[in-house]
Amino acid sequence: MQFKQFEPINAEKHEHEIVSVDAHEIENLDIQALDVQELERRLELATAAASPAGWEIFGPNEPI
Amino acid sequence: MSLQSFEALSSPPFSLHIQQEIEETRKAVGRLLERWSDEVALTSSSQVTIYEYYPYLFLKAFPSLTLADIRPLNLASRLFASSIFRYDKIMDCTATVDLSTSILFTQARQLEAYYLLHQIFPPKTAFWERFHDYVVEYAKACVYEHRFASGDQPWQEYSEAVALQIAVGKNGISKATIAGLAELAQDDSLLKPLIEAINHFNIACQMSDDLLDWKEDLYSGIPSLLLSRIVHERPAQGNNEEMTRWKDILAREIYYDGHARYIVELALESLERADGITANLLGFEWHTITAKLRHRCQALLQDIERIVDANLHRVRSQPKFVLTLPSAQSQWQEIIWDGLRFIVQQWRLGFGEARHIMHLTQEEEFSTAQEYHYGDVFQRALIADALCDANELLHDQFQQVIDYEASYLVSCRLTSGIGGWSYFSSVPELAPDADDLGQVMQVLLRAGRKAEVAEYCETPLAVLLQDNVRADGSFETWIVPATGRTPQQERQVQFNQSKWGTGPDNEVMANLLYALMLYDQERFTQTIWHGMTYLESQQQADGSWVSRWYYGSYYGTYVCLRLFTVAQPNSPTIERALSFLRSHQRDDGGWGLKDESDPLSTALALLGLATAQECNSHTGDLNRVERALVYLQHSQEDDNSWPSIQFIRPRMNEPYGSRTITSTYVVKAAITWNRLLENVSVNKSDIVSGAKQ
Repeated sequence: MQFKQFEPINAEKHEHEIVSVDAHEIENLDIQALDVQELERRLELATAAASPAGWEIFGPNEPI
Repeated sequence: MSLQSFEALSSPPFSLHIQQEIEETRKAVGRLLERWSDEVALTSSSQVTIYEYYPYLFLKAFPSLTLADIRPLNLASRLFASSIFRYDKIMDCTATVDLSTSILFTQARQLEAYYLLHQIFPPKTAFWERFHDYVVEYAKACVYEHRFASGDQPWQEYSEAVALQIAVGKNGISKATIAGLAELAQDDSLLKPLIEAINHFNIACQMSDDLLDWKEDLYSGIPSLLLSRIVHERPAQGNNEEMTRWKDILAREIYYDGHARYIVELALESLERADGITANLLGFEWHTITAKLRHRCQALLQDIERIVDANLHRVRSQPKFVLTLPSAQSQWQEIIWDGLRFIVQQWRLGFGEARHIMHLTQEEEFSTAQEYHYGDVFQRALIADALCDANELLHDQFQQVIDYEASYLVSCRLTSGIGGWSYFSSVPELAPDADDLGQVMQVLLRAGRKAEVAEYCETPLAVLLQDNVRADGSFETWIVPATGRTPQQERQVQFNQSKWGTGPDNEVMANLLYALMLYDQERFTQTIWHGMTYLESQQQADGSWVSRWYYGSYYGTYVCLRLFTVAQPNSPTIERALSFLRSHQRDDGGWGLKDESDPLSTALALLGLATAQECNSHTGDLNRVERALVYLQHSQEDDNSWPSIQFIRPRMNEPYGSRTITSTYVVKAAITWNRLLENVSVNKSDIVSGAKQ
């Protein structure tokens, strides 16, 4: 895995910090242990239709 | 980039009059398309987009116009927008219906839209010149993008400037609405700033969607600013295995190298510019839409940064662990080894796959601004419990991982109120519960940390068993004091009544009572006895138990069986439950929630059946177990895991499932049966050697 330093094309317009973590520091970490599954599921939830899920209230022992 | 379509609010931000107009327009679309064939007239998506009511967003800028003036333009705008979205699917090769129908679909809508526009705007008016320009600009952007999508032009050249130009062009036909409104009002004065605002808004939507859809874009070979930052050539299509490997590598770069953040920040910056231009020009209708997109981007950015930081922190501090497994001696061991390898891999990743994420909003009266909540206490306690089983099998090899997990669970306890554990600790309206308490207690006790049970579990246990017990021996799932409640606890009671539901839940009771058995059977004899009497009364006629929080009957039946087996092994309840399990095995050897078998139900049923063997050395299920083994072998995924199956049901239509959890139960069942079958073999050999003597 190569961590590239990207220069924003429109640097004067978008003065963002590009790299979240110092590249040297990241290289010393166990890259394979950096999880993306949770992040991907978070994206999926953002994509999901905003249909409000309903609440269904039950008495004792009644299943949904 | 796939064309963006920012979904609308479930209730558009309009007055009743405008909402009625929108509904009328919807009906008018239906009437106009009646003459076309059903396939062509069919609406492509049930999702409501802002193009259902686009002109109304700009109403404030053209005060001379009435609702009736805008109605035909809205109708034409809707028809044209849906045609453009279908074009986009055709060009991206992602249309779900055949090409000829798709082309006719777009043709029908464009014809009807042009027909309407010709009735509204006379020829040679400025509207047509502008509309013409926007369509040309759109076509140029599509052609330009196609050069990258086809591989003719390297993605290295898909610069930010190019990406923004394509985003503006491809989404540019929406500007025709402003041109139409200006023409109707005979007022061009706000045309320029409004079009500039639309361009910024379209860029914001596009950037947001480019992040959300990055995998689809990658698999389809469609360029986006996000992808072009990390991929310099169009990826070769067709090799799915290679693409999957690539996808994982790229995902790490997207999140951990700051590209996701860059794209979302770009979206936010564009929104800010759009808002800056329109602050005094447009009304709350427009600003509600931009606020929603901003909120979505900010929440996403915040969560991405939090998860990335948490993972970096974890990777720095988590101890190294190497799993060393001998050659598998049986087919059950093969399953155990495969499952353990997967679980250890997930442990190394921080169990992100198993974490439950739930969306709870202030619109639903939840108090925190944070809308996405993350919970893994219960899941990790379940996994740690299975690792305790594995630890016994593998001579303490997992002790380090179990210790790490036990410490994690302790660190997640609530430090205010009565303590205990909440399923989502970031939701103040969610009380600590007996299920989490019981599961954590089991792990701490099995991990040899009884002192921590005494320190951290006694208070919530006391509140549960003193304040939340009913006369019939049952107790509530939610642990809230009966008197002297804090404002937060009062609110939890309200939410129990209005959202989560109150009353005892069989499976929760069985889990907590089992923990009490492990903790101090003698001290809790009365509670356990009364609770089991209640559970006996709740057993269904078919021998199963109904679960409130879990899909199907197998989890509830397993945890009840587990309790009865250790607390009252001669209870006739056990045989009734076993009959239920035996009678529900399918021809393929598995058990399932609906029409098909699934590995989670199969593992839970196997764990239930194992209790018969453990109770009275009953060996009549061996054939069933062999068939289940074959099913589990066949339901295994390529990466040695078992698929995610609906497990926990926090509320309607929001099932929680996880590959890690399914694999955990498969491993637990396999360890149990591997041990039991070894004992059967030993007993058989004893009998044989005894007979020889």
